[in-house]
Amino acid sequence: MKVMNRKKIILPALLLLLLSAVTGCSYKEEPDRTNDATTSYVTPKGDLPSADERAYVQTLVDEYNKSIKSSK
Amino acid sequence: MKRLTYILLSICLTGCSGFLNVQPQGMVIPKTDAEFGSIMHRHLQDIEGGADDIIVGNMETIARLEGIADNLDANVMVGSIPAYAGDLINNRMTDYREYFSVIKDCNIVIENLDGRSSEEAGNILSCAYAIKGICYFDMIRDFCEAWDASRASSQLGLPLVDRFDIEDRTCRSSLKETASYAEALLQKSLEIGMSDDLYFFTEYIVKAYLAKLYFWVEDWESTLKVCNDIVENSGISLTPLEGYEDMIQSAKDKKGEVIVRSHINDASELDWYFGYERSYIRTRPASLAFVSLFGDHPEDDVRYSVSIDGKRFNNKTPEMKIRISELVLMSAESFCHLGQEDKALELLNMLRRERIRGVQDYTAASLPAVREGDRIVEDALGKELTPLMQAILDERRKELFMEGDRWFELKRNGSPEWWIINNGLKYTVKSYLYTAPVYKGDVDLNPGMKQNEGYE
Repeated sequence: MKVMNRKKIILPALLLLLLSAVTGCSYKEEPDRTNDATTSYVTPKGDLPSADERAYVQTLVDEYNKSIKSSK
Repeated sequence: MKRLTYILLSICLTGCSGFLNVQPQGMVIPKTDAEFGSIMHRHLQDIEGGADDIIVGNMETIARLEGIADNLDANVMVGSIPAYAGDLINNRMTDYREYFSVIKDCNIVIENLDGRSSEEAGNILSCAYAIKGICYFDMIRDFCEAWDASRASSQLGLPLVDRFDIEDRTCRSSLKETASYAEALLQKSLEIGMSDDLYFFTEYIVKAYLAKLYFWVEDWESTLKVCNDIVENSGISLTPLEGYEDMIQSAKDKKGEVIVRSHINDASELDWYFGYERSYIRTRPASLAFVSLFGDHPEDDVRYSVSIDGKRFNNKTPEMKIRISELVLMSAESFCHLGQEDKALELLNMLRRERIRGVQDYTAASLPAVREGDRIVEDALGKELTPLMQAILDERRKELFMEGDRWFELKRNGSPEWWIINNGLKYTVKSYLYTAPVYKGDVDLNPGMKQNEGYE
């Protein structure tokens, strides 16, 4: 009889414990997740320069080298 | 009874513990004037120590802004500073979040101190309004398109955040509303009439930012009024030729015509870092277009040797400043836009006499013709450059070299597209890149928040 009584108490108590643990209130700290989880943008990519553009840059470099030699 | 006790005990042991989280965790909620003051002093300490890279700006701000502009020539040598605006879009986006972190602090102070009668509360409040107004001005230049009077009511502005609320989801206002908001904040700071240097943003410093705001939004009359007020009443005057180098190269002191500058603290723990930053800035030479502005006798112009050395590397102490020279140039340009060319020319000549030895005054007839092939081909109103406007912009470019101005000059005057070649690839500074993206997290979280064009 005593065993039966213990079972009657312990089993519901365990069930209650489990229920409370699963459904107990929790503090929600994070905002809702969004569809897009990335935090940055893709930076623009470079193109291949034309021959004229490369030649123009070379003239700038040549002019610079010449000017710093003459200033020494 | 025993059964009931067990049940109650079980509930007690497994119940909610969330209430424990509502206690402040190591934080103190400010109450006294001094406690609110400490919120502002944290930002002021950063400005004075040179660590602030967003409100007044610092050496790092200059390295970034001059790196992506064209006073230095990345085509000749990229060096150790950013080469291309496109590479920085994510850093600039993060700045947006930092600005709002500062605005949050200002809002906490404004909400709680407004109405208090002590002098200290007034000083702190004035400082908070000034910093918030300056943040909005900075963000207008960074995160909004260049001002266009015909579209300002529909151009995207910024969220106008009045109070600290973590749940707030304010959307972007129009550019016109944002400009009025920034102006009102600076005016509120001025109304309090704070004069204590301890709070840094005293009357004429706030007025200098107000003048820059009016200038950016093309309110020429108001620009002239505020610039004139500063020149007439601040006691700060245009530094003459003899004192120019000392004023510009001052390591920490606010000398001569300087109204406000970054990094005035002689005991900054970041001095080691600025040593590196200075050396990085000296890794890219000035462009031929910039050097050519000094003409056939560059040594006559005091700014030439102060700005660059024999290898065209930077010589200037790289600190953010607002100086009387800038106000003179803003006034000259304002007169020019208002059709008062004589007054514009008079101011331009006044500045040139204090910068170039033995210079001959310009007359309307002797102004150099508009150059072909220059990057800026139209003025802030979208009109073709005139010889006078070109001369004003040239003088501005020489005067404000390495002070973080050129990037905004390009943006303001037509946002021209241009390119550099780096590591064998061509990178184009497209017009949309002059306007930085707002923080992506805000756009993702808030369906009403619009991103700037080009970053969708």
